[in-house]
Amino acid sequence: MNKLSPLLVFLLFCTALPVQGAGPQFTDVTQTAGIDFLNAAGSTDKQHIIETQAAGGGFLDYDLDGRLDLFLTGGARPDSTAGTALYRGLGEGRFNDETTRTGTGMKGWNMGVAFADYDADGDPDLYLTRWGRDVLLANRGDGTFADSTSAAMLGSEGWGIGAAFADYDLDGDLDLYVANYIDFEPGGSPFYDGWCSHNGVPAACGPTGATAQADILYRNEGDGTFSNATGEAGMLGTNYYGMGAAWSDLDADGDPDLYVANDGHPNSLWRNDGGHFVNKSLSAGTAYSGDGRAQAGMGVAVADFDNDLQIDIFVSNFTRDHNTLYRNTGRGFFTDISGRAGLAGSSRPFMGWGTFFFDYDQDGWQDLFVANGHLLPAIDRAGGGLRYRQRNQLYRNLGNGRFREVSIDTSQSARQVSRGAAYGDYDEDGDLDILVCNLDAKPTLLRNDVPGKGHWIILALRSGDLEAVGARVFVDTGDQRQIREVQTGSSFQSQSDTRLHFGLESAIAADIDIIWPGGQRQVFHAVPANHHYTIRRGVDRLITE
Amino acid sequence: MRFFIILLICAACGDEPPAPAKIELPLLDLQQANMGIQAFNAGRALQARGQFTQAEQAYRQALKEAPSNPQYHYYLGVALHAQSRFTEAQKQFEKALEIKPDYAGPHIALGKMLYDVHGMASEARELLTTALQLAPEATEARYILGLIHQREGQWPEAINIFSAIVAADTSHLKARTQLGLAHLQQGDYPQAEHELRQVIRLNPHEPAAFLGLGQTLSRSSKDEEGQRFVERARILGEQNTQLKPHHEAMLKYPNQPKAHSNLAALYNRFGRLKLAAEHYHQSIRIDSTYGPGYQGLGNMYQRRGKDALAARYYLEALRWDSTLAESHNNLGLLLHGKGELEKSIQQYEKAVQLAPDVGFYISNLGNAYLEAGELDRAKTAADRAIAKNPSLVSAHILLGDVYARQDDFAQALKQWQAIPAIAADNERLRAKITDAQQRLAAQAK
Repeated sequence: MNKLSPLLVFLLFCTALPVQGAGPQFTDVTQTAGIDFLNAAGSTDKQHIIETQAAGGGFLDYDLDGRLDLFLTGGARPDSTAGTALYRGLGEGRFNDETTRTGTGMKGWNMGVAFADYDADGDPDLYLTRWGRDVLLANRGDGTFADSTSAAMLGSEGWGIGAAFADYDLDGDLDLYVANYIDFEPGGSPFYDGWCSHNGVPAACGPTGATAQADILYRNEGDGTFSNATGEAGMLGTNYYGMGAAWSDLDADGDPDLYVANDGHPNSLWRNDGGHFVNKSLSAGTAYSGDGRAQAGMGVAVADFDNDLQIDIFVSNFTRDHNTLYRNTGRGFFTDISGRAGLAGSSRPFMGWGTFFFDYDQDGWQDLFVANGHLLPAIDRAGGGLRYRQRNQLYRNLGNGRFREVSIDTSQSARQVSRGAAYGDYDEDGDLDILVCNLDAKPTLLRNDVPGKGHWIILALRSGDLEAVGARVFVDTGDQRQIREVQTGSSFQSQSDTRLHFGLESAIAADIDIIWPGGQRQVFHAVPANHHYTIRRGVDRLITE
Repeated sequence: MRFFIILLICAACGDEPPAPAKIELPLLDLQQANMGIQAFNAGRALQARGQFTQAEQAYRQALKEAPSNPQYHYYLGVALHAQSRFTEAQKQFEKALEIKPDYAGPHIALGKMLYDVHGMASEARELLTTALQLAPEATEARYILGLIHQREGQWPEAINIFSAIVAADTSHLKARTQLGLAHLQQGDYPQAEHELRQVIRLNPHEPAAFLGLGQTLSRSSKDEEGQRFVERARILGEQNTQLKPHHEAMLKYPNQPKAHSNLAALYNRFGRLKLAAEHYHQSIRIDSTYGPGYQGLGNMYQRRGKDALAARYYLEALRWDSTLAESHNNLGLLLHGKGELEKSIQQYEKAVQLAPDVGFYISNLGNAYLEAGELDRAKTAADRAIAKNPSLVSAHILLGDVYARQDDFAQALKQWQAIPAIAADNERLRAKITDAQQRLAAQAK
């Protein structure tokens, strides 16, 4: 044992360090970019569960100037100022706070966001999930937003977390799914303002014991209003603690299916059968871990990680459990291959939240990012290596079905209590940068400075004035064929750039095959690499940005 | 996640960890050693009941008397681990190994902790392999090693380990379930089906096995059969969700008879009779005067048609608690069934007196009155029962019966047809309705 003890000390020390000394280079540019939004989410001791999650955000181009803007959410602040922020992209990597001018400042508990042009007027609108009434901020097109919640007949009073738009009934407008969490009132049953205990330290009570709230599917009526279609679409049933939600055509039948990560309950996979949904998660193998346990699902990422042209699912989970990668094996079935892919043991010390697949090194294989952070500030006192502030994890896709964790940077300051996460090419240099939303701190904007990256292509797909949400794009370089979908929402309380980024490795051109919503195909041959393109449905000419 | 914590706690305390082969204690005063043993045994008893904080105190007391006893250090570590105090637990495991390097238990505990908390799969596997060399009979260590292989995607290794456990102990259902699931993950559907069917045969309440089998069959182009197993898994999963808080309450309050009888009542409702009986019996082992425990057993045996045994338990329940309305009512039903009408009426009347708002107690009483020819009292009871619970089927049938006895078949039919769903699967009632319709037709002629 005298030999073992130092070994253990060394091993535990190793878990506290970034994985690789000289990993890919991402530079924290938050300050120089002009982002100073401080998310102060309630008290620092986090006695209430509501205080432990409010940090989301993402990339959008609200003013259609071709530069990505940033929207951020956060919790109720002690000074009662707004807990949201909209930063306008100025170019050259800089942003300006336009919250007040745009009318997007929201007080209270703002959880997550989804961006989409719900009213088909050509610019993206904002949907905010909140504790209390959710809010729809309609983009007026003049650089300001209006609260259109009531006019649109939205405004769920639950505790919304995940939200995502898609055209589930293929009628040409964007519908909305909202994942709701639990009934919660400070001082109310079953929490009573008391402290609970977790890992031997004081902890906010819940969610165990709380009543699950029903998720809601809103159908866009095409006249600026939505109606609750949950029942008629077949989505009523047992309620779970809904968290991340992502639309994707998982069975490749031309309509979007829905995956929802549920905290402490089986995850849901709603197969879309012509506008009617059936939860196939149990038989598909995506409800539980491979060894048959319900996990604490938080964030969701859906993408084809192994380039077999089938969309796979990744779910981030609680600490002392593994994040789960479900490989799509076809015919509607999935297999938990987390361990085989190298994602199991490495994720156990961390509590995962925001997550996405993206090809940071542009080698043609989608890598994986997971934002981490524990729930309990007191967890540092529990010992055993558990930490409140945790490093985020970047996994490089090795192209052989496996991932290897690589470090983002080596500074201790990189440890935050992270929740939401999104990617986007904010500096328009053709690679993907990272936004991480943190609790009781500023967000982190990480600029991709990875050297020696491959070639790339970025596609913005427009169907008339609308972003072509749900479009599937195949890019073929001869050596490789990849697929992406235009998605909203997903991750955790966040949304990434809706433009599609493809890493092409050494290829200098690629064929592009688009399946538009509704099934129409459009093909472009030998499209030169290293450009941003806009593709309009039915127009056989690429527009270079 | 919480399920997993419970799993690990159970893994830590459920099975007997291998004791050190031979502990060479320093010379101690005999009295001191005895005190240490007493404290240690008290700790074991507390730990078995899930009272880890108290167990910790007992082990610390034992260590005061015998600070070099590796077993005491190890068990203190287990109690600390169960409280998620990992650093302290680790120190105790290390101390135990310092004193007794060939002690398998702390190797297992450390291995488990390294994987669970830190995800260190290879280090954990090494420690567990060492433990198995020291104590090849340590099945729990083997099982955990198999789980680590499985979660890390090393399915052939996991299959080998689970197979070895199952070969040594065919009733090790956890290992057999994971063996089936590992085959499923690996895509070996015939083997997965074979193993999971075995599990279901031995334990028809294991949702993971049902789900795994359902998935296996669906992937083997037997989708219809697969869906049936998936649906059963869903139901069992929901049952487990309902059982969970009661199970946790039972673990938290293992000496409270009510915690056991509440859990047993749910097991009984879900048809898991063995477990129901176990917890009802436990409730009356804790408190031999606990009436609801006897009542629950009576209810369970009554459902199984063992009326004599059920009656004995109801009488025992009422001996200790004469206010148990359900026991009076059910005893009334048993007596009624035996034709002892007068005695059954007495029991029903007591039930109604104790629980005047329970419609079906009143309806049962009304039925007995009807049989005794007391039509007015029967009608009053039926009306009262319907007032308490308008959708109570038995009360509508009773009221119809009363009208029929008064040759008022139109009113009888009205009652019998009050709830359309009633007649659908009640052959006797359908016969009554047909008869009443014929009589009405005859009256019309």
